[in-house]
Amino acid sequence: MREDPIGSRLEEFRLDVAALDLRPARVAAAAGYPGGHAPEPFAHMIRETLEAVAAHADVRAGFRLFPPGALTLEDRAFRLAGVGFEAGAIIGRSLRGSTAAAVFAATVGRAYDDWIRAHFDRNDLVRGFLIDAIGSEIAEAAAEWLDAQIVAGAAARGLAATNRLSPGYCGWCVAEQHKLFGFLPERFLGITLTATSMMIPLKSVSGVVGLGSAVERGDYPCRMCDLGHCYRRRAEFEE
Amino acid sequence: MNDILQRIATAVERGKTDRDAPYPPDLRGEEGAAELTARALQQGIPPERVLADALVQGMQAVGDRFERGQAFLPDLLIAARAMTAAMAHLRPAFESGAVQHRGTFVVGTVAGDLHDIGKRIVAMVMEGNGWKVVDLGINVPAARFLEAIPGQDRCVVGLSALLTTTMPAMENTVRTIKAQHPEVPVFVGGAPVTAEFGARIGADGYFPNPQGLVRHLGRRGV
Repeated sequence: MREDPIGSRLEEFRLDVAALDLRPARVAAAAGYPGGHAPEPFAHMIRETLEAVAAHADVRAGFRLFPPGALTLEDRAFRLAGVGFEAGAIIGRSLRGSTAAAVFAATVGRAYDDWIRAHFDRNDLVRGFLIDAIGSEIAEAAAEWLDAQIVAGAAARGLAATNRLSPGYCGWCVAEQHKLFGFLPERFLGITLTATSMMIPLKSVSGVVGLGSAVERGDYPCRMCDLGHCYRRRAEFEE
Repeated sequence: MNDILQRIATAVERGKTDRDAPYPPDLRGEEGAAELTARALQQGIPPERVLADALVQGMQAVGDRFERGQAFLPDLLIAARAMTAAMAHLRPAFESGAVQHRGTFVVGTVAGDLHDIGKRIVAMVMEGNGWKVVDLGINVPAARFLEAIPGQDRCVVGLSALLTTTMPAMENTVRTIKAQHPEVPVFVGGAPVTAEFGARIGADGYFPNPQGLVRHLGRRGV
């Protein structure tokens, strides 16, 4: 844990992928199977692939926590530690009441990207697709774990937390990812950004959680978003 | 339909690649699409019949189930894999001109975008439906599409973008291709892409999944 002069604090974790307890049904749902019920041979392939994941995943997660007063809201925008974000109406509404924030990231690591690519390169798209889907779910599970740490830490200070909010979702332009990573050390968790704001490793998640004494956490983030073509909406909301 | 052609179609639809493939369990130990195709050709069934009446039928069957929500991407991919294994036996017929591909599908992820999987899935499903595929890879500048199009028979282009920040590159690629090759259909796809966006940038269509593109091209008589 590191603390800087403005009172923000940086924390980093390395996670055991087994501890994330990724269930086959979750992967099957991510692969498109309603209710998480994949038929054979895919159910077997998912179980087999999950058993092999630990050798390829280096799951790391971390956040920078900004103290109360660091975050100010401006309708469709917010300002964090002096940096302005044009995040749009949905994000603006979601952050309502926040005065502090955590900027977070989580990744499954570069070796995992290589594992996916190796299957594609030998034209094993079925397995490659499942490994890709599992990687996305590991990144999400790591972000969920991190979110729980942030929420617990905030609660200990008498603060509540918003949902996790990420550039590229809910109308927040993914290009603002660069500003967000400006708050984190260079190559934080080994993550770099391309000019087009892609995170490398590809199986990475980033975002912000608003904190405050009067914030509300929605129980289902997709319900507040009208982005009809979002893949997460398709996977979860319209089922 | 001839019994062996029906068996090939079933093997493709159910993703039974060859005899060694352990799936599906009820076909374990039986011939798969590869062996059945080889045997059909040995029996003197013309390769174009094997392609049209067996392989494409199998892909169409799984594609129909996909569109009805009864099959999912892994089902399409495993069927395409079986189709690809069978197609290896048809290669001499393609090379001699006895059988023709439906056309050439030139596909790539646009400049600045490193996403691969969606594009690869589309390429594999197109190949499984009888198209010759030229996969230009990821982070492909517009100029490389221009290099790849000339000389391709009945060329169709597919562009993928997975980020809002690379959608301008998609627009630039569509406009560049259309300026040089207005006759070449260009189709777009990817998570942030919509039909409205596709129409606005001059693309000939947007499809959220590969089966939609296959069906659209089929309706156009390609």
